Amino acid sequence: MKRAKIDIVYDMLKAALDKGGRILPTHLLYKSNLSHQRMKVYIDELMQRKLLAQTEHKGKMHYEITDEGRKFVADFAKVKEFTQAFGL
Amino acid sequence: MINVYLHGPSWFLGVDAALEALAAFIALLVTLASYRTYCATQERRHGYFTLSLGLLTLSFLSRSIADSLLRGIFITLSETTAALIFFAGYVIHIMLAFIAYIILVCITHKISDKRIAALLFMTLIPGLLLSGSYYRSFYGLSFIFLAFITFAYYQNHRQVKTRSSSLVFEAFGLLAAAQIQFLIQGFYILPGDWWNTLFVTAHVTQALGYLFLLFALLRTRLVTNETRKNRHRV
Repeated sequence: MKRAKIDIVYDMLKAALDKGGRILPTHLLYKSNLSHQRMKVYIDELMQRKLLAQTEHKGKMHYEITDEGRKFVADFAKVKEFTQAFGL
Repeated sequence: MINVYLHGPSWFLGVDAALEALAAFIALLVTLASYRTYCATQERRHGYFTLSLGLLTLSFLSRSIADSLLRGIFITLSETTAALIFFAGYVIHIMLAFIAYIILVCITHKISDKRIAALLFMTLIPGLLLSGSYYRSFYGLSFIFLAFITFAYYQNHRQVKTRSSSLVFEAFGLLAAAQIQFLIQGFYILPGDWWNTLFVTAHVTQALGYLFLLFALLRTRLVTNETRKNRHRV
């Protein structure tokens, strides 16, 4: 079954959270199960919405989940239940 | 000259306005919850759903205020003022409700072509303006829209199978049933005082529909809290 946009966003943020809040781009690509091109589009949007931020750690580029992103993951179940109930 | 027709038994005066205010309040709660999901997802259909429920809120608010004023709950009106309030209150109620239903039909049936939405709206104009009775046209057309929305929510419930989706389907089913009762009542074909009784049952069915919508909304939150508790336990 095709994943909804909200599910993809959740999977990406959850992947970062499961890695202690910071994840390498290659790991994120693997965990989010998207093509590089699609992942880039989602990352740009997540960074624009301040859910994810680009940081450098030990000389390597990482993506770090923001406080807003943590809040999104916490509220995801509520939002998902609502969208399912109302057929959105 | 606009004639003001008020339906229902005399003891029901004001109760209908209160039930409409309740519908507006519940629609507002769903609008706020929907706006929250829109902020989280930034998805266009969530935005349209918020808009649709927001319009329904304003629609029922307009009808409730008009009915309260016309039934003389707050002040006594002159004939001209009553006619003006009747016209403004009911026109706003009808137009906003139709726009809301069309948006809901497009969302639930996943119609993305704006031309079809425009076509649906344009067919309403002659349906209302050329009709001998705005009352029968409004409830007849509302029933058609709500029946389509109910069918979409039935399909959604069969797919999702949660208690909340079932409540949403039942809520819209009740709203569609209420429109049929309003429609039959508008023909005055029932014997004795039954048409007055039907007006009351139609209002009660509609209020029940909105209450079911409220239960669905509350359940959404409750289920989530349980899930969260379970997650913490793990």
